[in-house]
Amino acid sequence: MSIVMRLMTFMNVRIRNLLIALLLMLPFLVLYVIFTIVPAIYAFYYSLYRTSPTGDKYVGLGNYVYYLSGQDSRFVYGMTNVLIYGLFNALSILISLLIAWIFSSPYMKSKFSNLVLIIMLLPMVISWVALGMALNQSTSSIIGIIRYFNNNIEIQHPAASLSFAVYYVGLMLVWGSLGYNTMLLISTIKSIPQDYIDAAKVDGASEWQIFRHVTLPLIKNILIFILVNAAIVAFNIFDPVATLTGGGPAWVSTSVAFYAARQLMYAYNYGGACAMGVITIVIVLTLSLLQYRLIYKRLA
Amino acid sequence: MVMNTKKSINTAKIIEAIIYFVFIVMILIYIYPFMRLVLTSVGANPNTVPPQFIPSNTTFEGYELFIFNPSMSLWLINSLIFTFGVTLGSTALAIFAGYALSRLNFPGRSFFFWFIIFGMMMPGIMLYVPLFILLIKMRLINTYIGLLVPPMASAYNVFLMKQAFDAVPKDFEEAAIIDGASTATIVFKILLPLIRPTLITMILFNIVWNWNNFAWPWFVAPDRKFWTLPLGVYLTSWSYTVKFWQYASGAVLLLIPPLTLYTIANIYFIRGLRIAGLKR
Repeated sequence: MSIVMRLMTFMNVRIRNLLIALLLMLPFLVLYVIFTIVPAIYAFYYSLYRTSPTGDKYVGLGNYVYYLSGQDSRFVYGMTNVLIYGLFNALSILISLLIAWIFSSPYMKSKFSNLVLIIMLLPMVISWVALGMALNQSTSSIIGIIRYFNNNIEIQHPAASLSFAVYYVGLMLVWGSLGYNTMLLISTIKSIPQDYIDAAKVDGASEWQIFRHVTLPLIKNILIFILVNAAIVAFNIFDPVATLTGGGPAWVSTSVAFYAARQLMYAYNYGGACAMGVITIVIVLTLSLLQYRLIYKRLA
Repeated sequence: MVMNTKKSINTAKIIEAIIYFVFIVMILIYIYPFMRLVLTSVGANPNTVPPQFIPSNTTFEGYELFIFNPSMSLWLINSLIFTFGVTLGSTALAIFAGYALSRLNFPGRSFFFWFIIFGMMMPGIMLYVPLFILLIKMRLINTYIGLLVPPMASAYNVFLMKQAFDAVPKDFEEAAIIDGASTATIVFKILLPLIRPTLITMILFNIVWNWNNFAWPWFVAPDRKFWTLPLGVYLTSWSYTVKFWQYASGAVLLLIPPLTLYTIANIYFIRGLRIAGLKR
């Protein structure tokens, strides 16, 4: 009897808590459902239609077939470029691994390594509108210097070059994310117990051997985590493309997000943009689940 | 033995030289673009051969334009409204929701938690696409409601607040409950002061993100009257009638507030980047 009573009071507390919690979460949940969950579902619904000013026409999976069969070269550019930008993100991680190794060396005064980190993290807090402009102008000024010394060379600004625009954006992405990756890796490297490194030193290991056989295996998990993240981040690339090249020339440097946005805003292609949205959402969710599995594997 | 020490001294010198070379190169690579932007904004043309580093005639006309021209200073005001409106709204929502998720034991708690994590996994920009269509149907395009309210529902902030509350030991609250404190007292007088570092970090990041955000205003505010500063600078920079120093000064104005915040409080920023992985 008393157990039932206690169970009931316990249940009552839980129910009361549920009401309070719902009340507290209500403002957030309402906005969250309207502006995040509903759009995600709506994107799928709308991707089944072809939009035109006279009225929407149901086309089933037509939009998906159209894009996934590669009939729209700009979408193919978008997807390929996301892959290229993802590879550049991975490159940024490799370079930052090298920089983190150099800057976490005992020869470097920590005063200096903090200073350079603070400066390298600047792109994290400044809008790409300013960054893109600053980088484009720096590039053209460097081209100007080169041409001043050798006027015979005809160099095009890479942002306007059909063959280099993609790699230009990729390199600037590396510039933007290098500080962040370096900082993460430095703190990871510094969290390795000094004993391991001392033990290796006693055994007569060189700096490189220590890095290869002690440091690298110990930071392997966080490295994989950051790499998967690099792939996820690549699907969200929008600002750098918009500000460095505007997706051009002739769409060769566009990311899929930028192309979808332009289709939506200037071409009135709602159904197509939603289809691209759904394709991206599915890929990113899959990658995210993979990433969460990695975290749990690491915790376990 | 002597040979050996000599050799190791030499290696140390070489290593040090490499390290400081990398150090100087990195600083140059990261400072030069900002320097270039400032030089351009006062009239030094980067596109000539050789590029100008000292302007032939120094001008502050671009700055005057963005601050005093009524149609452009409106963007500055919009930016301030957007930044502070969204930051305030999303912080308040996140504190309440984060408290509920962290501190109340109710059925379905983990469901709600994963429900919110799900939102964090979504690719943000791609959600703007259907959201834009929905807002058109709701007739919220080109309104302040459409501009300000959707970004307030930030799953990321809720997650951060939940984590911050989780880190506070329950003993504090239990002591307060025994003393007869209400829920409001517990949240505002006990928990918030305890998580102040995280709260400050979160607010600073939100200010910077919202100030820098230009994709969202681009989607929801086609009308010039609702443009924010990043959008205004971006869209004018593609126009052929605008002079290069004018939009460069817009960009400099754009980077001053985050740069100031970052210089004053870089400890909070670095802490946020390191611990929470605060990254767009």
